[in-house]
Amino acid sequence: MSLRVFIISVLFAALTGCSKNSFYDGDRFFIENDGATMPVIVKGNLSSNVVVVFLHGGPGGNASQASFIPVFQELENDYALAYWDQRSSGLSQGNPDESTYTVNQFVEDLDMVVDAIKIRYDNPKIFLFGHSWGGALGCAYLSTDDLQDKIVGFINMDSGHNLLDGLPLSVIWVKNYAQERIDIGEEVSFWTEVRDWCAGVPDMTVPDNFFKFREYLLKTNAYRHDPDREYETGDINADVVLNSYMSFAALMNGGYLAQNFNILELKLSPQMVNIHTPTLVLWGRHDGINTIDMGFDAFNSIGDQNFSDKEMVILENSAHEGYLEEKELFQSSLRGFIDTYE
Amino acid sequence: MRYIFIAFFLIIVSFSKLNAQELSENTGATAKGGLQIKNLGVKADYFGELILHPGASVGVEYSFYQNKKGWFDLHWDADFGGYYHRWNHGGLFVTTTLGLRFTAGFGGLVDLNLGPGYLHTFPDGDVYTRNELGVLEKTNSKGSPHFMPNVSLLLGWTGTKRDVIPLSIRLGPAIYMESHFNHIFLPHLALKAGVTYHFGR
Repeated sequence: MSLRVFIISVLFAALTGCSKNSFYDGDRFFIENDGATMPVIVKGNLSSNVVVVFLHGGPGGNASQASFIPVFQELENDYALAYWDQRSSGLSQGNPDESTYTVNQFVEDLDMVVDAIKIRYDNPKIFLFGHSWGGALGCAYLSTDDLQDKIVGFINMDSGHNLLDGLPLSVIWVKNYAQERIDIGEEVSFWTEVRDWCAGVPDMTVPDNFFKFREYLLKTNAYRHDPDREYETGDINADVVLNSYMSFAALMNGGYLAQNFNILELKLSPQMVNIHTPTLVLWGRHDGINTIDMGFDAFNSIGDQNFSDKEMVILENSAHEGYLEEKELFQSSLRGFIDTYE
Repeated sequence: MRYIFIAFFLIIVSFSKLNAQELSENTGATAKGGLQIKNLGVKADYFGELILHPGASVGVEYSFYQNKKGWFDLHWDADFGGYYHRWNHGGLFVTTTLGLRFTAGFGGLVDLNLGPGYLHTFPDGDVYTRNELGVLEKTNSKGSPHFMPNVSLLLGWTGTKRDVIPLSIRLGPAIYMESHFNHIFLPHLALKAGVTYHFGR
């Protein structure tokens, strides 16, 4: 290779780097709070004057990756979606002390995200869409002081708002799943071990028990009712890795948080009576983590007896990831709800 | 990571001591009195974080040992640079490395470098925080300091023995870590490609 060719190659690489603007359609800003620098990527139809804030699951999941999933990209045609990576999650930067891994801290962070959106986009109508842990965070936010006055609507999907009561139900779900595997003669010794462990009614407020349980859970169809189906998960391929805002942080962040943020005794149901924000509860019938009983618990806990601005949609063919499993129903439910209250 | 560094430095130190006699007799590279300009080089590199997020670095290298036949040398490098990962972060860094370089007769070279560094990152975008009154406002982020251990494996060319040129070119991957980053060592992959001007040739 001549020196000239070498230099031209380097220049070409430099010039093409970061030039794929499709990954950069939209806006971004950061929230800096208590040791964390958290990105908020805003994509979609800002002229709608509706911003849907995506509250990702986990703790320790991420929202930035969701910005590559078609189901959310299609919603961007109608609304702006704000993908916020929570502290120590996704593309979040900094090195926050683990003493900041509290529900109150996450609520405070979210409030800064909400305020920043209001400042930056001239006070749009803000909806929260929380999935799993993100749903729990939404419940905590809306039932704290008067924070819900900033929010027009809440979409709560398969939330872990009450793990204290919910995880034991998940253990029963896994036990029944294990029994079904045994009955059809599939990996009998393993599933017998799982069934017997679950039958021992382990204390799910003990982190070690939860982490062991999660290993079993991941071998079931608790997350996706039909795990063999193809899902539009959005490719994080080499092009995305090399040309977008993604980085290895999206893969490696979250683990420390997940190990050190104990929400196993979380029970927000009693305080959710304070919520008077219009709410859509979306739940997968076959969710093995936050079972359908917890869906009813969420629906019944929101607002007092006179509160009627809430509805529940059960995704009959879904488990925990209904937005992938029943994409069209998820989208139409969400659109119908937002269009009603915007 | 720590043990890799210690092992690497021990190898280089012991190798230098073992060959001290050969060194002074054959090359004069460590002549009494210290640094010699003929062993010095200045360099400039393209530094692409995740290959295509552009950046650059400049630096110096000092070759402090070369074996008798000239196919192997040890060198110390210091670099200053920066890169830009759009919508994610920008980084400014200072690194220092020790390198082992093997050079073939046709001029091809393999260069392994390892050392510590300092990285300061800044989020790429407006930053909001609450002021003392609790009001959210846009602010100038001071960025985050990080320890930056790094390693690179470069392939290059430095002219043949017959046609000695003052330049060498090189290309290869670098891996550096960002610590602390959410309580982990966050790995980064980068592409380095550059040229060195050697004063002694």
